[in-house]
Amino acid sequence: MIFTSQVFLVFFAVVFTVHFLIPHRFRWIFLLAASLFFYAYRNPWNLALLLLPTLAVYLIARGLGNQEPVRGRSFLLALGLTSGLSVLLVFKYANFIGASLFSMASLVSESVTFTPFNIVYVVGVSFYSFKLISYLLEVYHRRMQPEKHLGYFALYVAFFPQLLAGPIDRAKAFIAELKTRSPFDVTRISTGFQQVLWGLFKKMVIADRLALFVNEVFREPDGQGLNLVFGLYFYAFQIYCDFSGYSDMAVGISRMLGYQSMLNFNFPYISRSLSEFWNRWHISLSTWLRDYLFLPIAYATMRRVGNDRFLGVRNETWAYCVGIFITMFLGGLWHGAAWTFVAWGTLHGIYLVVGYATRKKRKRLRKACGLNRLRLLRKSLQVLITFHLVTFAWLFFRAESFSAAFHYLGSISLTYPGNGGGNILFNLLLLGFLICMEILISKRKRIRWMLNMPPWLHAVFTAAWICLIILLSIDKSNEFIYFQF
Amino acid sequence: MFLTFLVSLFLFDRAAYYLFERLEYDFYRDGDFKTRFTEYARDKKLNTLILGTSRTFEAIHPLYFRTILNENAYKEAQFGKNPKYNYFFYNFFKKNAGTPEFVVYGIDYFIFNSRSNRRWLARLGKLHDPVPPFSAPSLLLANKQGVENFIEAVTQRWNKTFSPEESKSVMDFIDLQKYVGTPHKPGIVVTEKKRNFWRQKYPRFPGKEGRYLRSLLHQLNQDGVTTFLVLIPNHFGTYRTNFDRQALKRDLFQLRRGLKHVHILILDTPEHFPLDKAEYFINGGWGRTNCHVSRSGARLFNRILIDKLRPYYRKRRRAKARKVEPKEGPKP
Repeated sequence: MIFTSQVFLVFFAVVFTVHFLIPHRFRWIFLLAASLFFYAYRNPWNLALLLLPTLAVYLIARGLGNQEPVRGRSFLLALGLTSGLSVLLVFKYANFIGASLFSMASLVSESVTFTPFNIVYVVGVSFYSFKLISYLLEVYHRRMQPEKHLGYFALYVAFFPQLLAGPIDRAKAFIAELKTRSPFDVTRISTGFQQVLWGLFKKMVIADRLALFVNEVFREPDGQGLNLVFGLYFYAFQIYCDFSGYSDMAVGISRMLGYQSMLNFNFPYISRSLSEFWNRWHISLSTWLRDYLFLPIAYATMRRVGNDRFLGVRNETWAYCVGIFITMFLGGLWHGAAWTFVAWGTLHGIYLVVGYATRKKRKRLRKACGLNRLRLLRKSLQVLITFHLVTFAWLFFRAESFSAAFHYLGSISLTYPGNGGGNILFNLLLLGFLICMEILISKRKRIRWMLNMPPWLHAVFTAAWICLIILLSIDKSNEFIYFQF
Repeated sequence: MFLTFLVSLFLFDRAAYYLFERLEYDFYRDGDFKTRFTEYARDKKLNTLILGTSRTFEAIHPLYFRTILNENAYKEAQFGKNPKYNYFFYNFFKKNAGTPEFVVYGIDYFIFNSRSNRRWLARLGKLHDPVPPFSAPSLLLANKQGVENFIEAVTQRWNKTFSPEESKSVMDFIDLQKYVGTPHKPGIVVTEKKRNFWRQKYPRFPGKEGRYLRSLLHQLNQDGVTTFLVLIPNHFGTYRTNFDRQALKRDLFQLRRGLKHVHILILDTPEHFPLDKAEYFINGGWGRTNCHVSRSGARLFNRILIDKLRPYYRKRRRAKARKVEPKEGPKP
C-alpha cells in the first residue's frame, strides 16, 4: 500500500477516525493491527519476516537489560545483531554477495557461473532492520532501558507511516510518545495534514513529472546531447522530491495521529559543503550512521593509532578519514545491493575526506581571492559547487551499471538535440515553483501574515492546494524510489 | 473550519475545472484546420470517408482504396474520435469537401463507452457535453485524463516551438492518409490462454455517445451515402475477454433498421480473417480488451474489406455512367 494510492486514502481515513474514537489505552493495539495490515496488504508472508526478528530482538534486549557480565552481554549483542540483520542480509544481499564472489572466482576459472537465488524482495527491510539495531545498541550501551511491553516495541518497529521508507526514528523518544496521551488537537492535525499535502505535491507533481524526462534520457542516452545535462539535474530534484515527499507524508501522518517523527530533510541543496549536505539529507539515516558506525569506527581508529601522529598524519585525521570512508562505503551499500551504489557512497566518502583534508588550504585560498569579503558570492559559489558534486554522484546512483554510467557521461555534449525543449521548459517551470515554495516554507516563521493567518484562511489555502495537486499531478503515479532500498 | 475547508474545496474544484475547460478549448481550437483541409480536399475528389477510433486507424488505410479500387478515400479515424465527433466531422466534410459517396465506419466493442476527445471536438469548434457541477465529488479528478492530455499537448506545442524538426513528427491529418499500420512485435499478443482472464462486459447502446451514431446514420441515409458499419477483427483471445459481441451486433442491427443505405459488414469471424495469427495483431490476446491489427494484418484485412466493397463501388460507377450518358446527346 503506497501513500499516493486510493486504497491508502480509505485505510488512513478509517485509522484516523477509529484512533481518536477509542480510549488511549487501546490505541496501541489498534495502531499495531493497522500497521500489520498495512504491511501484509501486498504480501502477507512478509509479516513473518517482520515479526520474527522483532520478537528475537525484543527478547535479546530484555536479556541485555538483565545481564551483568560483559562477556554475556557481548554474546547477546552479537546474537541480537545477527537476528536484526539476518532478514536484510538474506533477502537483500544474498544474490549480490553470491554474484560478487562468483565473479571473483571466475577470474581464476571460467567454468564458474552463478545462478541467482529466487528471492522476493522484502519491502522496508532496510528501514526496520536499522530500527532494530539502533534499539539494541541503545540498550547495550545503557542509554535506554529495554522496553518491557512487547506491543509498544512491536509498534515502534512496525508503525505504518515509517515502515516502508523511514524516517528511522529512535526507540526511546518514540516509545515515550506512545505512552503519552495524545488529545485531538486541531492545530496539530491541520499542520500534519499540510505537511502531507506538501509531500504529495513534491512526489506526485514534481518527482513523477521529472521522472518522465529522466527515464527517457537514461534509457537512450545516444544523441541526447544537452538533454543529458538536464536529465542529471532533473534527477537530482526527482530523487529529492520523491524521498523528501515520502518523508513529509510520513512525518505529517504521524503528526496527525499524535506522534512527532524526526525531521528527515532540511533543504539539502542549499548546503555549502558535503558535510553540511549530509546533515540535511536523509537526516535519520545519516545520524544513525554517525552514531552507530562512524563514531565507533573513529574511536576504534584513534585507539589503534594512539595519541600521536601516524605516517605524519594526526590521529584525529586518521580517525575521521577511516571512519567516514567506511561509513560512506557501507551507506552506499545500504541503499542497494549493487556496485553502483557502493561507488556512489564511496564517491561521497572521497568528497568528504578531500574536503576535510583541504579545509585549511581552501580557507587560505578564499582569503587570497578576497571571497571572504563578498559573503553572498562566496556562499553562492559554495552552494553551486556542492550541488554539482552531489548531482554528479547521483549519476552512479541512477545508472543501472558502470558501463551505463560512463556511456551516459560520454554522450553528454552541449549541443541541443532538437527534441525535448518543451519538456525541459515545463520541468524548469515546475522547479522554479518548487524553489519559491521551499523558500517560503523556510522563511514562514519570519513572515508575519503567514503566522497570523486565521484558521478559516488556512482551510481555504489547503483546499486550493489540493486542487492544484489534482490538476498538476501525474495520472499514474510511480512507486517511491526509496522503497527499493 | 472543516466546513470552510469542504466548501472551499468544492468551489475551487469547480472553478478550476471550468476555467481549465475554457483554456483547453481555446488551446485546442485550430483556426487553421478548416483552411488547410479545404485546400487539401480541393482537387482530390474524395468519395470515401473512413471514420472510427484507433482500431480503424490501424486497420483501414486509404492507400489500399487507391491502389486496389482506384478510389480516393479520406481517413479521419484516430483515438478519441467517437460518434459525437464523427457526427460533426461528417457535416464538416460535407460542407468543405462535398458529400462523400461512401462512408466506412469502423466499429469496436467500446463504441458506446467512450466520449470523443475534447481536442478533436475543439478543432471543429465544438464543445463537449457540459459537465454538470454535481456530477462527481471532484470534477478535476473525474476528468484527470483530459487534464493530462492537455499538459502533454502543451509540452508538445512547446517542443514544436523549440524544434522545427520535431513539429514534423507530430501526426497531422495529411499524415493520416499515408499511414499503413504498425509492425507486429513478437511476444506482445497474449496467445497463451490465461487461467483467470477477466471478462469485459459490453457497454450497451446508447451509452455515452450512441445517440450521435443514430443521428449520423439517419443523416447518411437521408443524404444517400452508402454506409458500411465494419466490425474489425480482434485476436480471438480478446474476443473471449470482450465476450458479448452478439449484443453489439444486435444493437447495430437495431440501429440500421429502416436505413436502406446502411450496411453491416461482419468481418471479425474466423471465416473472414485468421483471428488466431498473432502476427496480424499489434496487441490483444487473452485478458486484453484492446486489440489493433498490425501492418501485415491490415494489408490482409484491407483486401478482404475491399473485396466486400467492390460490388457497391461498381454499382455506383454504373449508376453514375447511366446518369452521364443522356448528356452526351440523343442516340440515333
